Amino acid sequence: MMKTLIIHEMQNLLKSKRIYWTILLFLMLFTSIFVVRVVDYQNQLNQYIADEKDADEALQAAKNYSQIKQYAIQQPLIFSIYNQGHKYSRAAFIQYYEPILRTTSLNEEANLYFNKDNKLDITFLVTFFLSLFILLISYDSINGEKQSGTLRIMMTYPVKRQSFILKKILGIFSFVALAFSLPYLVSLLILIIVYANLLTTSFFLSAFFYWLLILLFIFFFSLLGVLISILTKSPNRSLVFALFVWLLLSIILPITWEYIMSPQLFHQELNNLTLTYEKKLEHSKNIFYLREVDANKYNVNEIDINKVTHLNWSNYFYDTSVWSFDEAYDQHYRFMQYVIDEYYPASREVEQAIDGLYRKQISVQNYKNGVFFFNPIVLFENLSTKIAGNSQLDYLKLLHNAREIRDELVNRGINEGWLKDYRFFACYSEKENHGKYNDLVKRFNGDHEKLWDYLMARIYEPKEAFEFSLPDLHKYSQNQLSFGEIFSRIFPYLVLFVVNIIVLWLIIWFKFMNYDIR
Amino acid sequence: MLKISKLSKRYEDAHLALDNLSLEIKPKEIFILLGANGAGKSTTINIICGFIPPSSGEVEIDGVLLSKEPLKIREKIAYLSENVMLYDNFTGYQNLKFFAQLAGKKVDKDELEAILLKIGLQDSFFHKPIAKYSKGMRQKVGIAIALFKDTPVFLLDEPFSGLDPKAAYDFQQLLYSLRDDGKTIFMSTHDIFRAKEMADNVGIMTGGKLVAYKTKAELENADLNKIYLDYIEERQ
Repeated sequence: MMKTLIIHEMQNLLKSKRIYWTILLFLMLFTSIFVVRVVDYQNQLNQYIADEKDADEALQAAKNYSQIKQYAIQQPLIFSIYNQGHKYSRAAFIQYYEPILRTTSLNEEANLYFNKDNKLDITFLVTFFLSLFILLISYDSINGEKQSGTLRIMMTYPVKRQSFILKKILGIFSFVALAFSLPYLVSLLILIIVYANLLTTSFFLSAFFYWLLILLFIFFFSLLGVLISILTKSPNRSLVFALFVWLLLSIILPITWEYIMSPQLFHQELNNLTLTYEKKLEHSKNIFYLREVDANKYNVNEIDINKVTHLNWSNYFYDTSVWSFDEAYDQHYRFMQYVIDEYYPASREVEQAIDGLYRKQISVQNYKNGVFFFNPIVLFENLSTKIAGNSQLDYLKLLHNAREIRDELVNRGINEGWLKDYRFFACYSEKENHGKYNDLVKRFNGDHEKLWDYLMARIYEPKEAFEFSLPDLHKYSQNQLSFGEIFSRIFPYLVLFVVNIIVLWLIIWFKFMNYDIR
Repeated sequence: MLKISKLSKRYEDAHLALDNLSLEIKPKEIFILLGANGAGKSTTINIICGFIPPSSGEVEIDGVLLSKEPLKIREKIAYLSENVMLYDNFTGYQNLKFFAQLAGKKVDKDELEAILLKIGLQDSFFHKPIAKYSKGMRQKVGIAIALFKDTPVFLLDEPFSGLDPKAAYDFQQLLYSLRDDGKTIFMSTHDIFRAKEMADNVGIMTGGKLVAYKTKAELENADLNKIYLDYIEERQ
């Protein structure tokens, strides 16, 4: 009997033009978003591959320690096609004398369709459109049958009210679940074929949990639509009511929340901290910038070229010529002493403060889940990022991993002594003899540009005096979510979801048992 | 046998729609309930069908009590309303098939089509959506659905409404044959002439009360129209 009822309900839905067009529109949206996201992912992947290649090449080409740059490059998550998550950034490169983590891709290009803040993905499709579609399918499920009279004739058959309401709910649920699952499975199949070698267990776990969550989401909205249909007398009224509920859940409440909680999200505080960070950098730059060196005390013409050196760590810190090796070495030593004693601890403090703010933001986000425990859209959005592994927490993990790599190298530099050693930027060779500056000027016929190029070339040439071998560096490794990890992340909210469904179910049950079917 | 004992219905707004109605309709009987709008005819059928609960009283069909086994009662009744209610997106055949399945009948295509033919639906319409049917055609499918359910009691609420004279005549003959097969037929109508022509017994309701009960013999030489109007006016 139940099977007959459910199949009948699904057939009834399928025969309705309104629903036919709704589903067709949904499938078109799904396909468009999926295709665009795959293209976007491919771009990200290309950038990632280019980043990795560049990073490796830069490392191999390094001629002294100062040229070693480590990168913590996160491989773009395939699952971001379905759920883009918190941050678009996926790479952090680290400079240990300038302890900043730059969270950007080396080869980042403006994406045609999606910028950093745009989160148009399958999750958006589900929360924004699918929720609307389910309500459009179900808003008149009960009062429509009452109005057309089929409810009455049905109730002259040995069909329990419970069975009838189950038929409605399960019919709508099965229909929408099928309408979503089919393109979803096809899209997964496409990814499996196209990116077979990149797929991990973590991806399949995410895909499975995501699907499970969407089924719960569909079930919740099917119940909601049926309840709206029971609570309102005519289909016209329930359409208005359903649209209002949808607006409330998907737009009004989340936007109101953002408006009220925005000051609590510490954006300003974060900006101030970042500013402090920048100022510290600026300060150290001013202290140690070598323009403070008194060049007048040297007689340029008499300078021993062999003792001219050039410090060029980063354009950001100092980039100048120093008129004697001793001077340069001394300058570097004092600078690194400052960096190690003052700058590193201070910058770590700033990092900790920024982390603290991130954690506060995460707790505000979790608080949002608590406040909107009844709103499946908020719950689903948040749970998706937890499942996909691209939540704010995951972004923090990326930063931590990157910092660990940085700290490891910095500590090596300190312990092995090269961070303060002249070999850090070694470009000096006592074996080479270039004579006096004047001699060089004559050699280049007064062409200072050529002379400069010659000097610069010397800086980057490997020097016999310093035998540099690439240290064995710790590489960034991708975080893979396990079943237990995903489950423990989503469990509390999954319980909320299920409790919501049960409560809604009970309300429907109670209301329909006393429903006037005439 | 359909037995109604001291059935009353008072709505939440305190309106007494049915007042202590008692009736006994036997197999092989066509009972027709006459009454103006709001007399309580539909309330009676609504209670028997289980659409609304009675405030007091009982309905019994073949020994099964509505208050005890409402689902079992539904196995014993077939209901046909003035405006037949069907799934517009489905064809006449699909509607019949669905309700036959609900009634727990074995569904045989030939049998279903035969019954549609029997009630006079053109075979070219069997597989067209109900949305394209005229009111009379819908009524016919409704009759087919009720017939296929094959229950001991038929509850008919203005069943002739929308039928053309030929179809009405055929349906009337069909009801006679059902009666001859031993079915109990409970019909509500405004149509005094058809009531006189068809009924074995007639009840007249006003203000929720059964004010008159006439047998076929009593009606034989009486003017039912006058009797009906007398009761209505008396009530007013």
